[in-house]
Amino acid sequence: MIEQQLLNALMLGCNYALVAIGYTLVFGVLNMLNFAHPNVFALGGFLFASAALLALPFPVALLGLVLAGALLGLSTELFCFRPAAHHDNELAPAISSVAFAMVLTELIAKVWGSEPVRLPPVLEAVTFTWGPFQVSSIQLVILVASFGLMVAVDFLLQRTKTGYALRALAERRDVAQLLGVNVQATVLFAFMLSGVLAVLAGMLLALRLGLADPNAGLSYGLRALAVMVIGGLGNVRGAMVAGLLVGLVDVMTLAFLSQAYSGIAAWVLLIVTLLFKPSGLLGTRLQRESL
Amino acid sequence: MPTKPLLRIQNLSVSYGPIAAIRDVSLEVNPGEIVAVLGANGAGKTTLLRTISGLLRPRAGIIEFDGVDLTRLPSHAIAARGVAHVPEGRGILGRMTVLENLRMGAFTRRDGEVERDLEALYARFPILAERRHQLAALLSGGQQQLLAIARAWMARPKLMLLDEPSLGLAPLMVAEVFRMIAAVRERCAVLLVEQNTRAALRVADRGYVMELGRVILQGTARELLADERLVRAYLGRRSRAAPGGAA
Repeated sequence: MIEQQLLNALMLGCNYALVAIGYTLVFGVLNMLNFAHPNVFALGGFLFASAALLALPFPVALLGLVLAGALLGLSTELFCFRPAAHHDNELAPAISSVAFAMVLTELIAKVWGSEPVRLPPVLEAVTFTWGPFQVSSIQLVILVASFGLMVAVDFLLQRTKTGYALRALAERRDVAQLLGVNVQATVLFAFMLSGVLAVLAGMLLALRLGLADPNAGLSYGLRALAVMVIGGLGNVRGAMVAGLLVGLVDVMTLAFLSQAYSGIAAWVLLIVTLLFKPSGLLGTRLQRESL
Repeated sequence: MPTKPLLRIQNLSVSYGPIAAIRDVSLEVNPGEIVAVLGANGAGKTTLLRTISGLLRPRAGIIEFDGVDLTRLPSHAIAARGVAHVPEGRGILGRMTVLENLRMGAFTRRDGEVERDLEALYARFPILAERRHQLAALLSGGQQQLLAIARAWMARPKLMLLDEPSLGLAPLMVAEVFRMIAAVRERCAVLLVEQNTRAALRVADRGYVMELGRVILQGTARELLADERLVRAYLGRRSRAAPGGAA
């Protein structure tokens, strides 16, 4: 029983983490919140549901989702954030992204309706037993894909030139420029990566639930925001750790207390973190200074 | 001088809103030269460097570098053309390691000799090798300044802009920083902004003295060291300097 709960916690936590990484990437380079992010995440689930209902071959569906995510990230940057880039106005882009979020919500309602869309069976249901653990093929796919994505993002940030540019930009915009970082291109990349992660996280959530949920953005997306703050603003590894932690707390409160408490578990964790370590779990004082 | 200047600034004016920070400044740096820009706080020295590297846009004037007009290029393109700017306060990326900072310095490079340059740097400044895997924020102020210059050197620039590299450093570190500046000249020209007039003129070939946004005096380092007005200004600055200051 507890093993099954741990497995659930892990999958939920991965989902939070993936959405939170997207918030974090954008917040890192711009110091601004992208409120359209949870809706891109929700849209990802519906796009995947449609791809599955159309019985598209999986590689084709995946490629389509990645492109859609990149395009959504790109549009968010071009329409909401870039126009205000030179005006020192931190509110306008945030409000524009709220507007973009509403457009996406309406788009989902228009195309798919306001009810959840059931996924057809996409994978042969096989159960693997591993000591006390029982893992279904879908669960295995979700876990492998989630951790794979996190490792890939971490590798990108720590080992590639683009990752160096993102980190330098997150820390000191002017210095990054002086070192040759093209700020506009790097910011655009952060949005596109964030969009791809959101769409793929939406797909993984739909896989786990067996349906695409129009409220996914609100319930998961908002909690992912808490995850970002718990992990440490702008800290990608922090977002990963905090995502898993919030997933664990969520599932455990549901399992051992009651459903009434599980909704607030993440927020209690957020308040406790802010009380005792305001810079977040992996945030350092150093980081607070630079942000 | 028969050589074509590497950097030629003509009648440059820069303002912050209605306030003029630099007025009608002309200045040249030849290949291989170290040129010092001296003057008190608020003379416009930092503004000058920030305009060259594209962080600020001039109101009027020409900045020609290696035959190209820089005034229309974005900062990252100016960096890619061979201008490495070490900003005031060092501009260290504290959340990255020393090695990552140095690699970041080589960001615009496409050649395969970055590793070789790192080795050369480590051989000359062993402290960077010892600390390479530490977060740059954990270095002392002087070590951070060395790292900042070393990072700029990793770009293989044609011109390095140094903004107050000795500011706030202990005398021993000041000497080390100037040793590095002398090493830098083997590779590129340097435009050095300093309040530490004497030390600056000891490494420099020529110098310009700025006051309230204008160049009021220029000459070879030897001429400037002998100039009565500058000596007076320098001594004046020294008497006002805080105890333990860089002078």
